[in-house]
Formats: sequence, structure tokens, C-alpha cells
Amino acid sequence: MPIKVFTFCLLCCFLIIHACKKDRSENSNAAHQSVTELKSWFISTKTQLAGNELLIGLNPIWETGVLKENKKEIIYEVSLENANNIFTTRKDIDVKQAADYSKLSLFKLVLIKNKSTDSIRSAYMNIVAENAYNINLNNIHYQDVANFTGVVQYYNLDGSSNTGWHYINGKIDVNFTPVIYDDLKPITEAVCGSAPVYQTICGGPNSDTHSCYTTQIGGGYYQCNKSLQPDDGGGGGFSGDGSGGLGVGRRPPIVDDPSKAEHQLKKDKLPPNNTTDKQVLNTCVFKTMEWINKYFGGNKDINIIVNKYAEATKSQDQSTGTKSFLLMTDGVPGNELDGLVSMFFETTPTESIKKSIDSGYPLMGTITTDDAKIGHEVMITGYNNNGSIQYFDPQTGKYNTKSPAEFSSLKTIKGNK
Amino acid sequence: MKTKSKNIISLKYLILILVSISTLVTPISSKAQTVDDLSKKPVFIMRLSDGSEKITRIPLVSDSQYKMMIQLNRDSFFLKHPEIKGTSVAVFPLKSTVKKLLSLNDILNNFKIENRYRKFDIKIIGFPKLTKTELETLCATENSIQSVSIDKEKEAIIIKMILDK
Repeated sequence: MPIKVFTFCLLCCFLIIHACKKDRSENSNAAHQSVTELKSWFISTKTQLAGNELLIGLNPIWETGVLKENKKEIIYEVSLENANNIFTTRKDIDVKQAADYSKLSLFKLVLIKNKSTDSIRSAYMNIVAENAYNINLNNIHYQDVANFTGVVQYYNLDGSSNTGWHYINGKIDVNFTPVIYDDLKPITEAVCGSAPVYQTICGGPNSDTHSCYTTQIGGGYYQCNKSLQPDDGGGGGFSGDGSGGLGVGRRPPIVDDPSKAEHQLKKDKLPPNNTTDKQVLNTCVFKTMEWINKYFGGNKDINIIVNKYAEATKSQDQSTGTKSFLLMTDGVPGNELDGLVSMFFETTPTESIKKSIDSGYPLMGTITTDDAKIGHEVMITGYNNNGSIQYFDPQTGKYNTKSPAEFSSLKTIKGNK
Repeated sequence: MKTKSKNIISLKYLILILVSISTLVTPISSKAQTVDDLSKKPVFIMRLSDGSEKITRIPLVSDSQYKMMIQLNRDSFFLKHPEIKGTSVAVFPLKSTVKKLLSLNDILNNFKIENRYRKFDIKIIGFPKLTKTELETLCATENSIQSVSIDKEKEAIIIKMILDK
């Protein structure tokens, strides 16, 4: 009898263990299948978005992926390689402080599969701490922020803003959503802040191997809503499928392709995007003037403009060559800019960038550089409905956008002299 | 005996204080003289027709030669010369008539400037005041300097370049 009982028990144990093993194996297979499916979805979505993205260089490090699930969803959180050092802040910053602010920002990829519908959605999760003390941003997870104080915001895969959440000691304080402007309206009371996106490229075309070049690549204004739902500590997620332009996500506040502005000067007369015909040394002013001269049908190239100006302004004992060399090396002193522009162009007072562009007039504008004392001259060529200003940068040979406030010394050009 | 010992101790303190002051003062003043952020300035390469090159911050060439300046791909240059910092790189492909490049010392030697004047400030007509580092790398083509003179009153060496007609 005891032998029978013992055998029975042994059999039961075997069956239980075997059943468990099978179950675990099935779970493991299911998880593996989900991960494969999520990866494929992400790669396919990114392929469709190629060339239409803002956050370039955020590449998943798949081996860091962590899978978790709740009753409704399978969530896959993956660390990202950040090749272009993209980071966000909660205010406009002096780019000299970029290194400090970039430490407070971390991007992760979140891929979510709905268990009942099998639909997949995804977003870049951006964690922005409010101070650097004792925070390991890697420990903040999707809907699991512990006692974090700061912002968790989500960007669609095309780089457009999705939504964001402000936390105080792990509790949601405010939910914010991007504001889309249909025109260059002034900032309304509903707007509670901006979230500029920056990138720092080291050793690229604008910096040497020892220094880095930080520039704002996007961002927009937000409307804040006090969180209505009591927070259970889990935290906020994101809406839509997160693919941005392809899905139900919002359009980006900064147009994806900066070479295409919604309101632009005559395209066929503007410099081509991505041109190799860039400024030499510090000749941003002269190169910008060359492009504007061409826009109005002129044929004065940079050498003609530099030499003519050098001839007119050189000191008595200075050769034109030396003066030209110094202008090209040191740039044009700020107090000489008006004289230089009026030597070659007819100008008209600038009421607003929008009005000048609508009148068909390009503008010269100064933007800031890493060095606050040194400005960089660009050709303003258009504007977008979200308020961003399109300009052609003679240093990079490319178009880009910035907010209107980032331009100074605006000069509206009516034509060549 | 006791007094002598006290005097020796106070003398030691005095020397110590003087040494401390001198070590405090010297680095600051020398730092002030050498502060010259070359990472914010361009780099120039003077290339002779035989292919030899010299890197400089202040290229002194003839007027017509200035127009022949060509911008180089900075990334490849800085990869090759990681020790050099700068905003951009330009090259002067020099005419075959230029056989020799001169440093500041060569220029002063060629114009027989006596050693006693060589501590004077160097002023190149048409150029702003050059820093010590810029002067150290100064490079001129052999046919670009018209004269070098001494202004004893202003304690300056004046270098005048040849003006193209």
C-alpha cells in the first residue's frame, strides 16, 4: 500500500513538473515571438519614416530589451544608442551648458503590443530630471518611475511630440500636450512651456575632433492640464500608435524636412539644399550675401563682394589682399554689417519675418553660436505655420529651422544695387 | 643665541612668503600672456610646389596669392593632426616661383635685426596685434616682405608686406 501511494505521488509530481516545464517553455516561446514581432514592426515603421525623422541617431540596443506584461499589454523597453547626443530641456538654454543639460535627459524606446487586438504602438520615452543629484535615469521605466521628480515625455517615431507627464516624487502633477499653431499667433495663456530638442555633434562638419557643436533641432510649445485622474503610482503613457505622421500621433511642431517650409520664397531661386558650395573660413556674411545676390538674379560671387568691400574699407597702409584675408578669417565686425549690406543691396525696414517673406523678400539674420560674442549670419527663406523660421545656413549648406526669437539684426533685402 | 634662532626662523618665514607670492603671481601673469584660444581660429597650410607644407596661423603671402586660398576638409585634417585645434582649415597652393618659407626668426635674420631689439613687440602692418602663439607659427613666403624696421620710441618691430600693384 505505501508503495502504491508513493508511486502515485511520484507520478503526480512528475506530471506537475512536466506540465509546468511545458507551460514555461510555451511562455518563453510566446515572449520570444512577441519580441520578434515588435522588432519587425519597429524596423518596418522606421523604414517608412526614413528621411522624415527628427530624432536621427536613436538606435535600439536590442540586447538591453526588457519584457514585461500586464493584463492588457506586452511592454518591451529598450535602451537607445544616441549617436547625435540628442537631449531635451524644459526651457531654452545657452548651448555652452549643453553638457550639463544632456546629463539630465535620457531616451528609451517603448514598444507595446495589445494582447486582445494584437495592435502595436511605440514611442520614444524621454526622461528629463530636474536635478542631477542621485539620479540614475536608467532606473526610470515605462509607468514605473519610483519617486522620480521631473518629466517623462513621449515622442512619436518621426520625432513629433506625443504627450508628457510631470512628476513630483513619483506622483503625476501635470499632463501636457503639444500645441499646434495654425499661424504665427502669439503665445497664448494656455501655453505653459516649451520643450526644445537639441543635439550635440562632436567631430562633425562644424567642430573639430576636440570640440562639439550643439544646435536646436526641434521642439514646441505645450499646454498643461492638471492631472484629472488620481495617480496610482504607475504614471502616464502615450497616445496613438506613436508612429507620428503615419499613425494618429500629432504632427510635429517643427516641420520634419527643414528644406520644405510651408511659406517659402521662390524655390527655384533659392540655394539647393545640401550643397557643397559652402562658406570658406568665417565668411558667413559674404556667402549669405552671395546667395541673396543670386536670388535677385545677380552674379556677384563671394570674391567680388569681399574684394570690393575690402578695397573700400582698408586702411591706408593695408593691402586689399590683407584686408580681404582678415575679413575672411575674422568675419565682419558687427558694427560694419549695416554699411556692408547697404553697399550691395536695397533694403527695407523689417516689420516681421512673416511680412518680409510674404512680400517675396529674403532676409539676413544673425543666429547665436557656441561663443555668445560671435554671431552667425544666415539667409532667412521661409516660415511654417507652427511659427518656426526656415533659414539657409551657409556653413552647413543646408536648410534648418529656428524660433523667431533666435534671430537678431534682421535685414530685409528688396533687391541688388 | 635664542634671538639668532628666532631671526633665522622669521627669515625662513619671510623667504617662504616671498616664494609663495612669486609662485602665485608668476603663473597668473604667464597664463594671461599665453591665453589664446586657437580652437576658435582657422588653421592654414602653406604648400610649396614641391609638395612640402608648413602649418601656420598667420600666413603672409602676396595679395594675388590670398585669392588662391582653398578650404580643406577639416575632418580629415584634424584626424591626421589631433594635436591641432581650429575652426577650419585652408591651404595656400603657392606658385612655383616661391621656393622658400620664412619663420619670424628667418624674417628678422634676413633683415639683420639686432638681438637687442628682438624683445620688442612685433607689428605687421595691416594686421591686428598678434598673440605670442600666432607669432610663433607665423609663416611668410620669401617674396612677401618689403621691409622690417625698428620703432625705438614705441619699442616695436614693424614688418611691412609688399603690396601688389
